[in-house]
Amino acid sequence: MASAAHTCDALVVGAGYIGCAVAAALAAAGVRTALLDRGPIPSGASRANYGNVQVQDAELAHSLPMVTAGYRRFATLEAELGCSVGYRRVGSLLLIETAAQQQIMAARLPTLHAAGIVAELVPAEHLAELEPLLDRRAVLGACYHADEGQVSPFQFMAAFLRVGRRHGLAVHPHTEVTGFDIAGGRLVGVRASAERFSAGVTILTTGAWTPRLGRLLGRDWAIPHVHGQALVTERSDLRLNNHLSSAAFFEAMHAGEGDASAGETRPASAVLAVAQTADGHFLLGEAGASTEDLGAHATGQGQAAVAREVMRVLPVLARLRVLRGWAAPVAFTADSLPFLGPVRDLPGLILATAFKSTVVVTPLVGDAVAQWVCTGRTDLDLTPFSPDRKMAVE
Amino acid sequence: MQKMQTSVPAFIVHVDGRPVAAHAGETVAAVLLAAGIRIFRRTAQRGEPRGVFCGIGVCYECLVTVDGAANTRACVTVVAPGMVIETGQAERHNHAR
Amino acid sequence: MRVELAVVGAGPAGIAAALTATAAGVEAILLDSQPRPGGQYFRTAPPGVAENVRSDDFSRPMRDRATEVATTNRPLLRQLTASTVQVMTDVLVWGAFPADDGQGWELALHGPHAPARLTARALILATGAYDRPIPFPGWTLPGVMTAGGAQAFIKGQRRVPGRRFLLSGAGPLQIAVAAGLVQAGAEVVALLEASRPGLRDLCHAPALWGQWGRLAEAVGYARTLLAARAPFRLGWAVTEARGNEQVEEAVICRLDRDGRSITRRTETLAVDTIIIGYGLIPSTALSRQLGCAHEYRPDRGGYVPRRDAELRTSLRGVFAVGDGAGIGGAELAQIEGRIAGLAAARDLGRLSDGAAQAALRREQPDLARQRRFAAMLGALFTPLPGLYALADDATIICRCEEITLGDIRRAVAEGATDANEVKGLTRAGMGNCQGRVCGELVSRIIAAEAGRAGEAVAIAAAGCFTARPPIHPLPLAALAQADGL
Repeated sequence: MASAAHTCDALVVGAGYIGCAVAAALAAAGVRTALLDRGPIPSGASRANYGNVQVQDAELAHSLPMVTAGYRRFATLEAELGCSVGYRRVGSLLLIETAAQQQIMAARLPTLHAAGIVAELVPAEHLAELEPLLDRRAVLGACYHADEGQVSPFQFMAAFLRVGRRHGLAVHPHTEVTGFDIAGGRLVGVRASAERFSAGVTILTTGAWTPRLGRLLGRDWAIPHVHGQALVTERSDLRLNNHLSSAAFFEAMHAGEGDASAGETRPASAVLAVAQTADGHFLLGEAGASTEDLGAHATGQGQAAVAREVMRVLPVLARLRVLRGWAAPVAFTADSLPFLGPVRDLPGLILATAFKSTVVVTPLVGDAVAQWVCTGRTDLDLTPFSPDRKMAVE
Repeated sequence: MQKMQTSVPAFIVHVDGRPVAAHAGETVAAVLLAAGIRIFRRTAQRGEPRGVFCGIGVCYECLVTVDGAANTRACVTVVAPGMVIETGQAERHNHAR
Repeated sequence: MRVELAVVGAGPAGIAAALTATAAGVEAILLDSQPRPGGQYFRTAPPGVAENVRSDDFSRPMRDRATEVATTNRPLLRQLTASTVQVMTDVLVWGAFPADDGQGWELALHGPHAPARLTARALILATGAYDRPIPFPGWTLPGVMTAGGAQAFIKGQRRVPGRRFLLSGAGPLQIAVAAGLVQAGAEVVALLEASRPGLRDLCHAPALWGQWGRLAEAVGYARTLLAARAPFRLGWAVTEARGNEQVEEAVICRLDRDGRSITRRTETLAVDTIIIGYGLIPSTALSRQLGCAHEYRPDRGGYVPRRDAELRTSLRGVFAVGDGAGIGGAELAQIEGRIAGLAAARDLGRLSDGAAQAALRREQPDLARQRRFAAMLGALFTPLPGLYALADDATIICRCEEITLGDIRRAVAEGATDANEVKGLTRAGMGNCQGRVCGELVSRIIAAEAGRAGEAVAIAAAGCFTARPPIHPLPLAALAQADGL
């Protein structure tokens, strides 16, 4: 097969939320852009995502300005994109089940309030009005924040792709990067099997696949992942008022990190994450297992763990039929900060990945990367997110 | 005129509130057709009528509510004495009792 | 619960596999989601249901007891009953996963009498097939059903599912259905065969050699239909179903050699039931969920698992046989079942290499003959490309989610290039049947929109929907028990 050569000014690798938004912003700014993904578009963890626009679970030390600015963009997003992304305002409840979790949540409140995020601790007795479906006996209480949101993941990414295509974005699904081209100490493009893409700047928005690509460049980026599983049910006229997640996420996020042996998957346990789509399907999750494997396979054990965890707090869902389960590798970082910014001593390479809660910052990050590429600076302070930062040693 | 001669146990099931005779081993779909019912449900978005299509449990068109369990395939569900069968005028949902 | 071999699907292929393996000493279990073994080809009626006699609005009891005897008196079923094969019916295998010890497979089960999990060192998948959908305006009306569905009523419930029938399709299955309907006293208004075999198809004649039983059957059907003067037309098909809330009439059309309707040659028939029989699609949800490698083989009905000469899939210890691995009919299914049963027995150490080789060699002549026959049917009766052009933009393609051809075309125009991208944009394939009915249709539409309608390579490039557990919808409470804890 003849080798194909493509030339562009900016190359975005990884067509999830961030990749689609970055590609759209670049194309709309007049940059000749190509978007690649190893799978169908959209792909990866974004394809597996609920679409929650989350605020109150933000990392507190450095992320709040980005998250609050990101959230504000949603008020005008659909008007800017010129189409619906299924956006609606939804509250969220971070369920608290232990005294330790209660302390963690309480300790977060002053910082959240200072940033203008009105989260409050609600004891179990008062959860009835907020979330009637919840079995209050299963929890001590919850941290409630009314101003969050939800998009339809596919509509959201499709909207960015539409904008991009309108401005000449070239989209290449089923195209896996197998190598990088470096000339004169500069990244000048990538190789994907028999194809070659030359670009002035390459942006990796590759989530859990980032370390693998990093190794091709001799980098050891600390972006581990969990193997997350979720289920979707048939439509129901039972109404979930808020996103539900668990304060345990703040404890358990990195619990498995040190224990994963090469190639092995720990038995699945689940931490609650429940949402409901606008047309009534429940999204139930999520089981996480620490693993080196990037293959995303739903497992019977993981699905059982999710089902049990959900039924513990939402027993009314017991008879609801599950249509399908899925899994995806979900990238995270030890400090809960993304890798966002240029890579020192490899000009031509930018990373924009491993966000803690991606949807809320997606439009903002798209704009920030486009601004960086076009002007060499960003309004957003990227210093804490530098791909070259030293990670705290475990 | 309905004439029933059978050596198989016959019993009553309830179809949309009325008693209907059924026999051991019959499927809900067969009982419904015999009772003159071909429209088993209406679709969620357009309210369009649907009935048996593939007949072997693959297509999920023949959905009815059986003993309170919504979206049950009539063509692969065998009747039992006293079974309560409801055909749908609107999409039905599964609740806890 | 642990066994050496689990056979999923108790149709002819699965029964043959289980009998063969058990005879060699393998500890095997045969699983099926239906109440009685037999699958579709050997479907039996529950005892005594033939004796119900009543006149109904939409169905009639079968008049012909002889047919009942013929369909229930299968040698293979008698063999199964007389054997020591462990059979578990009313059980759904909703997922299969690598066993924790790496020594086999875990099946997730759901059924009133079934354990939640079953561990097997080897698996033989014999999951059968289902009718290929050909969409046309009005095809979702109650009263339009598949030939397989009609057969299920006739054989399994001893009922005729309508009164005035139009049958439209391609291939021998609908002939059998028509004959069954006629024998039951139903009114067959017309039987339409879409293909028009011509002189050039005589090249397939050698494949008929040895198929004496089948030829006799065919002659029998033809006699029944001729005696009833059931109108038979070659090169015609139904192009529209009409009625207020259910089928009341059908529009039929003469077709050209590519299957496109010649619109000036149409007729309208008053019927209440339209049976479409355009061949079968292998049921591969389980083999895809497991992760077996598949390939697109239109001559074998669509996506099929890749297999070696001993019918092993790409996964160690997993075999696939029968229509579920490629459409070939009941005889081929039984031969394949025996082959996999022998190979599995050898793998499990129950049969010596020598004995297995000898037995496998004995199966080869029959295997070759049945494969030739299956290939002939595939060549003659694969639906013509024009039949896929009957749908218009308003025709529903994804029946579960009510997604039209127009919706899918818009998604392709937006840039979707494969089935999973179309699914994300339109929701096609996200409903109860998880894309079983609309799956290949979506890939065909993608190919057609690229100007490559009907081209196998283009259809294959559009891929197929990913299959995930549970492969049938299950209540949350059932999943909660899935790990046997």
